[in-house]
Amino acid sequence: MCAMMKGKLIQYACTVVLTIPCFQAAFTFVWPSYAIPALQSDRSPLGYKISEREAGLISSCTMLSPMIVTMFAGTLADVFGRKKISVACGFIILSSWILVLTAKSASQILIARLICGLAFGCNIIVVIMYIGELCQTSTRATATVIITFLFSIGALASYSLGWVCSYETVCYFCITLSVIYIIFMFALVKESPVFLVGKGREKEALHCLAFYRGASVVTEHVLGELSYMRSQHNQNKQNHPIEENVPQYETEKLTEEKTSLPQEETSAWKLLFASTSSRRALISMVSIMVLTVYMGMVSVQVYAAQLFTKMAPNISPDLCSVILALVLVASSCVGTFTMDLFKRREKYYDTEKIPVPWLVAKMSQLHLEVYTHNYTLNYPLGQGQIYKGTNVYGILRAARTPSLEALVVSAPFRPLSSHQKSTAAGIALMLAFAEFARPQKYWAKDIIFLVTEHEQLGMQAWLEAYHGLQSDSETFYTTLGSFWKPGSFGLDLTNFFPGFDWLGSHKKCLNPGQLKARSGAIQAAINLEFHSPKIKYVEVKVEGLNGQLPNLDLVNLVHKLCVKSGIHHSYKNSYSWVRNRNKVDDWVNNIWTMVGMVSTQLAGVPNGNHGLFHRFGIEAVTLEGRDSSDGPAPRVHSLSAANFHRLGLALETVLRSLNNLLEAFHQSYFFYMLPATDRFVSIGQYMPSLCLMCAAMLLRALALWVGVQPTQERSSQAEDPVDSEAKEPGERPPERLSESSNQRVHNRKTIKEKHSDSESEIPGEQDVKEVVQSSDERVANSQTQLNFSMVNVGANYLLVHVLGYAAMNSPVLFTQLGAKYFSLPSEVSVYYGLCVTSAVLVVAAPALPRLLRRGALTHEELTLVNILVLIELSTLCLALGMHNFPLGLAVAALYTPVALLSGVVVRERGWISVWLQRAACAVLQPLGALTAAMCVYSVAVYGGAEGAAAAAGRGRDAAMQAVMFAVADSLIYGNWVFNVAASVLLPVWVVLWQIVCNSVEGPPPARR
Amino acid sequence: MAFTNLMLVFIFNLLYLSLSSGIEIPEEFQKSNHTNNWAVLVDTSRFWFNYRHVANVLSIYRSVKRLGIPDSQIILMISDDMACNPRNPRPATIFNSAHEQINVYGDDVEVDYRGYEVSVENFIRLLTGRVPPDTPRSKQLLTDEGSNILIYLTGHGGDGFLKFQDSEEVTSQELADALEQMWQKKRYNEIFFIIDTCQASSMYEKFYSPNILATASSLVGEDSLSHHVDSAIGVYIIDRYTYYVLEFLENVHPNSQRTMSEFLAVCPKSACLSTVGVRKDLFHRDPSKVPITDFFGSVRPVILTTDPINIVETPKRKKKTENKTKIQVKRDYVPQFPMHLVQVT
Repeated sequence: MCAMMKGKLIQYACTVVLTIPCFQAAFTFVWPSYAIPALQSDRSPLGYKISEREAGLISSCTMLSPMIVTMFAGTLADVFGRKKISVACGFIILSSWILVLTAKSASQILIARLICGLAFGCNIIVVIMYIGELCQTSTRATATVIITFLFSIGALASYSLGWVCSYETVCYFCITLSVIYIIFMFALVKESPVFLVGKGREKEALHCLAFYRGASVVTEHVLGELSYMRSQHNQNKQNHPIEENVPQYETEKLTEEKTSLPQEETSAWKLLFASTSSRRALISMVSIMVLTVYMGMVSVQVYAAQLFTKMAPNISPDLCSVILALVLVASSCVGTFTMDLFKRREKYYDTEKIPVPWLVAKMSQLHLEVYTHNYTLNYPLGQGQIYKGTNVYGILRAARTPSLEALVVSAPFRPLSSHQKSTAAGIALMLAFAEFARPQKYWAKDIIFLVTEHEQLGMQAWLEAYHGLQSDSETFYTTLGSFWKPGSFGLDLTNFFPGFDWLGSHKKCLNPGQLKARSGAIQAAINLEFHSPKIKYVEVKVEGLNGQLPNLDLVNLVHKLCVKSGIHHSYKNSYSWVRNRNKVDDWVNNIWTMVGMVSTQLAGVPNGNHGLFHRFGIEAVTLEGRDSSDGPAPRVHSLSAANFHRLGLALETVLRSLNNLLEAFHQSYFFYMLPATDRFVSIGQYMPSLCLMCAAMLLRALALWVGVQPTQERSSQAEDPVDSEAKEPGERPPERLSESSNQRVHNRKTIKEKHSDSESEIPGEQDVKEVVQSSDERVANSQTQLNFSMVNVGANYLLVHVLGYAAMNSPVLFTQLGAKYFSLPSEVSVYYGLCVTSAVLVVAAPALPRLLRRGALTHEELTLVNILVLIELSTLCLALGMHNFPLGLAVAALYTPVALLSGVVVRERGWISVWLQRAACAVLQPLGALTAAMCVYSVAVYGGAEGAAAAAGRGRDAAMQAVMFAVADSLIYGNWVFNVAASVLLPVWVVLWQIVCNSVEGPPPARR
Repeated sequence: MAFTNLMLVFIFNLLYLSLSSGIEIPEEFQKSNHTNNWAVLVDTSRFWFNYRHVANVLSIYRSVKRLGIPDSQIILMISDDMACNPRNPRPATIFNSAHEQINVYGDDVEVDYRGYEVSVENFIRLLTGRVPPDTPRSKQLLTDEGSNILIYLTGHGGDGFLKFQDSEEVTSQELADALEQMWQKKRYNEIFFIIDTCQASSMYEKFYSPNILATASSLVGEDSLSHHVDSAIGVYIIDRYTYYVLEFLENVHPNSQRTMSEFLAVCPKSACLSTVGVRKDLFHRDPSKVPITDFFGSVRPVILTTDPINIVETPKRKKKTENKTKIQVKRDYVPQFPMHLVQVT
């Protein structure tokens, strides 16, 4: 701290010394204002009156010579060094004033002022450079302001001295000042470290830097700054325009992009125009300078005394000049304060891109290991758009352990134009925490600070790159745990039809690129979304991809530590500061919280960047800062706002706790539902509700199976030989089940058989049973009726599923077709493509079972199909429920009633129940149900304002969007909601539809 | 058993005979055949959150060392290195309280068994002396029938067992059998057994060997609780029982007259929140008359002799000046009794 203060003092002292020439410059510029009248008076120090022309030249020549020298000043300073040039300027000024003092003619004064102008012109360039280099970031702005301040003070001093002192005294004053300047330059000021680094004299640079920072040479901070300077220097040497490294924002196409960065040496001039920010700076500087000069400021200053003599004869012209100078001083003071007040205008104010150089610089100033990560998305559903993005991450290596484990603190970068709230405060909090965490000794895990671009896309790319997943789809889908592997489909149509590239291109659409450095296995991650440090409360978001949740321990940890740090927190409808007296209110609140959680999980879309971590077995949550404007939280206005300190405290305690973990989270629940911030419902309690619904379907399947059993008269006699016979593949009998309609009902069904059937849910096993039975019957009865075809049932079932699989793969084809022939946007073409598919299926599906056979459909066949579909549906619901309970529950709740209601339609039955069944089934067509739901929702919400038709249109658009998002999520992130809906749910529905749409002859009379 | 008793009587008689022939010996020496002190201090649990167990065992280590048991007679078993754990914000220190006044890690801790060497097998082998032949002396309990042994165990325990390292445990029966084996092999004179775990008293209930005084931080069915958490370090820092034991022992000096009964009452239920269990039935002396230094202090090796001692001229060391190269002086411990002054016949 002490060293820091000392360093600042030294920097300010040196700045003041260095700006003495500026003071003198102003002094000299306005000098003619009172010197010319003296020279033109009768008591001229030259001994004679100078002419008007000479007077004019003397006034203007100081402005003339800087014009020449400024062009070379920078080069001179780079070649000889800042200090040498400054000292040389001091000597020139000294000599010029001596010349003025000893002048015997006007031409001598003219020459003196000419060389004086040279020195000033040179000095003003060098000084700005010099001060900028020797000051640290925090003092730089103030130091630069000192220049302008002393400049105006110089004018003031000049006017005042000219007023009260004689011509010679003024000269003596300036000479003394020059001598003092030179002495101080030698005694105090050291060479600029940046220049020394540039020259390769690093040892000297280190000494100088340490001097300016008031520290000893070995301070870590000084060394860090030096290495930063070195890296900056090297970067400058390579002359890459920095901002060109930033990949273009996603709206630009690859074809339009320069794919290779300019590798050749670019000159400084080129660089000036190459990047937007420097171009902008150049224009604004030039315009300000031109305006100042053309406003006549300079001539007013130079001719002040003469002007005021003419303008205000009553007041002393000298007083007027001093007042003018005072106004200038005051305005420069105001300028100083406003500059501090409004800060410098944000460099990246209006850019869409992530400010990579700024983030890299900030993080390297914090001494993190900083890297950037580029990724590419070949958007699968457009016309081959390619989006690019960049993430920046810094690794804080734990000092006392090998990098075996890591924690991640991440924040998404959102441009200001984004419709979502900015996350700037989150990034600031993260950087502040990094600064705090860096010197701590207790880290046992590395901490990765990650800023991602393009929301979840950047996070997905970074995670895949971190875990070394390449762009082939094989690893992508196997690591997803997904059953769907696009490459696994054996039939590659590309071999037969060259146009079918869409099936053959199994390349993953997101190319995560490579990471330059990694850390250990990530144990946990905290994602920050704060738009302002003054938030009212923190919302903890947990729902991840495909409804996955983080370990309950992490969620509890975050909630508890929020309490400890004095931050209000919430989860959905459950707010930490709300305590209901009324128990019923509590219950209602809990239910709404749970419903909120269910609805978030339903779509399987993560509601924050944390959601993508879960796929890799990393526990993660998002902390979102909220204030009174977002969410209907009660009494939020009365809450005290959190500040940076409290948030930092919370973040530190959370990460410290995670740091102290010895194992990955495993103690608590992974499957749960949260009715409040501090309560949960475990999987053991919520699963039975789903299981009961599925059990209903299974029971119905069992009942149907029992009903379809043929009577067996001599089953006990024929059982053994037939079994062995049936198992021999060579003697496989024709798979036909005889219907013993003419025989009396026999109640003596073997219990053993019933048992085995109810247990076997796999169709294959049932087939065997069928075979057993059919052969049994064949032996038993010589007269058989041909009304059961396994081929028909199986082929139909398989065909429907193949259609579902095709529908799952169709969106890419639809996009291409839509774009090629109708030039439609991809979401429209996908939606209508799927609509057409659905319509075709609705019309054609009922005819499918008849397609593969000659005779009419039989009751038994359809019953068997019904059994199969019930089993498949219940299995689907259970499997979905295990992964994503809300989705499983929703599917079960929607489809169980229909599945239970719809049965084989017998011709003789009343038409009302039949059409009721058909209507119920038709409503639940997956795509139709989605569109209908969206339309109903829109009409309910917007119907009053816009009219029902418009609202319905809005609903259709929403459905379109939903389908599009589901498809894109499935292709990019591995969200399997669309895949399940298309490849399992749709076929199930089609089979149900087939059952209710086909009417058959009733079962045999014996049954009735 | 009868045979042992016979043997004991025989030994006592022999001793009495041999001693009575010499000069008059103080009464205490006559009664006791306690000649040396040993300590076995064991922390059985690893992982950062068990910081407090290491602080426990080091507290006792610090005390016994201060009261005079040399490092060569302290067997210190510590399962994990808390001082150098990367999570420790104060590297190379272990404190007994959040005030961080006593650094129990000190400057010269000699850990004999560390890390995964702390196992049930090694512990039992150490007690019974059945160590492999190449075991260094620092890892052996070289006690004899005159040794008073202080055994201190801390870690996570349950009813009838003490967990070692998350992977194995020693049962109370095994421990009792090991002590009996020690008794039969004449490896101790008296044992003071302290255990600071949950349900600690279950560990000494099965003991059946004589001359064992046992105390435990909690009774069966009770948890032994930690004293407080240090938020700077982030973990519980010490257990209640040992915290008060250390507080007590800090005021004990090698010459103080405190007795074992004071030690046994060191942590009342109001302070410990668990009941301190004591088992005295195997111990034949009255704890209120046993000085605490019988177990925590050390007996210097004393040779009683009536023979006159010839002090021979001390050999002068030659000053070697010719060898300029500095060889590091090999330091060794000065024998506790200046034997080089004594002419050995």
